[in-house]
Amino acid sequence: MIIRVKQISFFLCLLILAAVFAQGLIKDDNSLEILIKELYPVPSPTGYEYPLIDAIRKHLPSSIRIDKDYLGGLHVQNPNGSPLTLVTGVDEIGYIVGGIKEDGFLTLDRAVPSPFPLFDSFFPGHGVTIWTGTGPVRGILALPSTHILSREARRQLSDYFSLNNFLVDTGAESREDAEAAGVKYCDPVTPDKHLQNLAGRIWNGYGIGSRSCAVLLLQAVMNIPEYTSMNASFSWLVQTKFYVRGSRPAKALGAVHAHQMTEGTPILVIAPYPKPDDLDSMTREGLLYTPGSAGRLSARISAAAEAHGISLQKAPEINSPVLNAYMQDYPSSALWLPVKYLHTPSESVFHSDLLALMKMIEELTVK
Amino acid sequence: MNIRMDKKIILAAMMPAVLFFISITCFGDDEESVWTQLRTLLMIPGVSGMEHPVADYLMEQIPSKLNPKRDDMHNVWFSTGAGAEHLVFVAHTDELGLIVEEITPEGKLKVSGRGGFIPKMYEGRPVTVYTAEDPVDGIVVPRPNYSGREQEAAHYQTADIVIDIGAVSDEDARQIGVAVGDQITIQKQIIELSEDIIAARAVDDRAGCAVLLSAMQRLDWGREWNKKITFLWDVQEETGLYGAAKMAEQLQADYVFPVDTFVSSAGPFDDRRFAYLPLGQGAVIRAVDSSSITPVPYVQKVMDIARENRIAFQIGNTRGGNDGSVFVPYGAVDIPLAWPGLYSHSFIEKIHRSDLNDLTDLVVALVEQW
Repeated sequence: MIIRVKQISFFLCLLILAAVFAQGLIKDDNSLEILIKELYPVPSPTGYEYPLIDAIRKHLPSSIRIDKDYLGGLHVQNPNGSPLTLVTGVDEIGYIVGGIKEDGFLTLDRAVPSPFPLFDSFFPGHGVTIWTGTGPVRGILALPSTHILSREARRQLSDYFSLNNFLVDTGAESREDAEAAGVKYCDPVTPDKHLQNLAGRIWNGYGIGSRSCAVLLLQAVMNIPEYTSMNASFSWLVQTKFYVRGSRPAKALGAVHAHQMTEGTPILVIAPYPKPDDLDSMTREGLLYTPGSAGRLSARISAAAEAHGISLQKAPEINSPVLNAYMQDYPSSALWLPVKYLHTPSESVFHSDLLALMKMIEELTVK
Repeated sequence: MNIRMDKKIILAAMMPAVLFFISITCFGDDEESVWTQLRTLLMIPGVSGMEHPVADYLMEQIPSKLNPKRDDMHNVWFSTGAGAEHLVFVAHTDELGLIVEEITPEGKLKVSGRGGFIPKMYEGRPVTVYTAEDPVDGIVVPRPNYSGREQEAAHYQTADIVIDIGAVSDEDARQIGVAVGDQITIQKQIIELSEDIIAARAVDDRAGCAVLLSAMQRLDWGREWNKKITFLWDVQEETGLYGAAKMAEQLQADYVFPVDTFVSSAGPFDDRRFAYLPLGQGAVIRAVDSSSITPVPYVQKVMDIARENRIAFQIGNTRGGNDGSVFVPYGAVDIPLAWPGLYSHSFIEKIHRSDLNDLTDLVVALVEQW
């Protein structure tokens, strides 16, 4: 009887431990999913990142040291002095109101360079939001009516998918209408974002790559059990899609500006891999890294990957304006999140890659 | 205590509540219902040839006392009354979209298109695949080398559309639930530009469907109008008026009133040489289009009834066909009615609430007074 009770108790303890362990694993995935779903819809076009910065800040405990630079970038500083700083850019590529026509339609301009010629063509015929001083205003990017397209217009259909011809319909019938709704020149404009979960394996949506990286850094800070055990500083940079004028290679302005806040080196850039076309010729399993100029960090990264059984590939030399902003002045490396269809509405990241990157970050940032 | 005074005070206090109750039951509901019906209908998938979900919804909405019918194509209709003339009001339930034609060994979907649209609108966009079980999220993959320098935006055909649902093989895709023949729409959403203006996929012709439903709810079917009335929600209009063609032979109408879009040229890219009817100015008598010319006396009759009932209306000519045109060879007069709409056959078809209300009022008036 006693032996039976002992055996039963032993197996019960095993079951409870297994459940707790599984819960820990599930919790990691669940809490990441919850954060992604909460933060993904928040707008952050270059120059208007504060909604996302504020949303990130709300999750940070008040006990840690939080600084902001003058552009609005957010920095969590390691109380122990920092042997490592993780940085990621939070801004997304958007537009600004360029003009308000007399008939109420809005023209658009871009504040940051287009990543490739076809970029603008994904947005006509879909929704946008104008972030005015009095609140968001919904709009649609107009297209010609199919039925009454003339033959000449059909031959020049590509013209309607060019920024030069973007016209936003907000329902306003005059300039006064549009202005009464709160619209003014230079208001930020973002294309609609739709977060999807394909087959339970892939997060998909415009800008999901950089948003995931911002969430991973936040999750890493939130997961630190004691802030005395923190081993890194964290920076969410703004205006990384805007470059220092005349810089060769291009340097992200927000990253250069944030040098004043940088307390710990080396620098580890966490970002979507900037050349997704390369991925076709490389294995898609696991992460990529650029050793850069941080030799010892590179060794730590390799060791962390090996400890967790994470496949890690060295990426070819690439032009990353965020990494470029640090390389000259600090030992710097980059860990890349593989992304499919970068800078399109169908941008995709694999859950498994996100979890792998999260493990790597935790390994590197907790004593 | 003055009981009489207390009663007066109580009654006075209750009056606002009583008046509010009267307002929402007698005045607010009718005008609200067509807009609400439209918003519901817009979210139901029904690509041409796959309209059964819409037919299911309609059959639930039509009271059994009207004896609704449904055929194997998923046309839905009811007929009531008797008399010398037979009036048919028709709206189509189908929308533009895609059908799964092939599942590749890599688990991607190749598709065919239903209806006329600009394929470029789909590139890179999220879609929904409606399987036999549950809807499945997917994306239209950007073209190969989408980030290259030499790309012509609109050089993108339906044959170029490849859909990724996250599957890694054809077996995986089938386990997710996708099958050849499943319908696909762009991810459905209603963009609210104001309280009275929305933009969405499938306003053409869910708006017409909503008008007929709302008119059906308002009309007193117990009355004797000395004519036969049919309300018909038909299928496959976008692919060739096939649903209407089958019903035209069966119904033998005298007058047919298709309720569909008036493609307005009030959009910023449209040539205003014709079809310039702004939104918010009233229901449209679509006097001339690519498939019919309504004889002037009948246009005049509709105008007279509209004026008599103080219903705002406009008259115009546009492009595109209508379901009523296939009734004409069987002896009917085709009198298309419409609402002015912008950005036809896009994902942002735009409509104004007051036009929909006016159109519903017009259909009710025509049933009662034609």
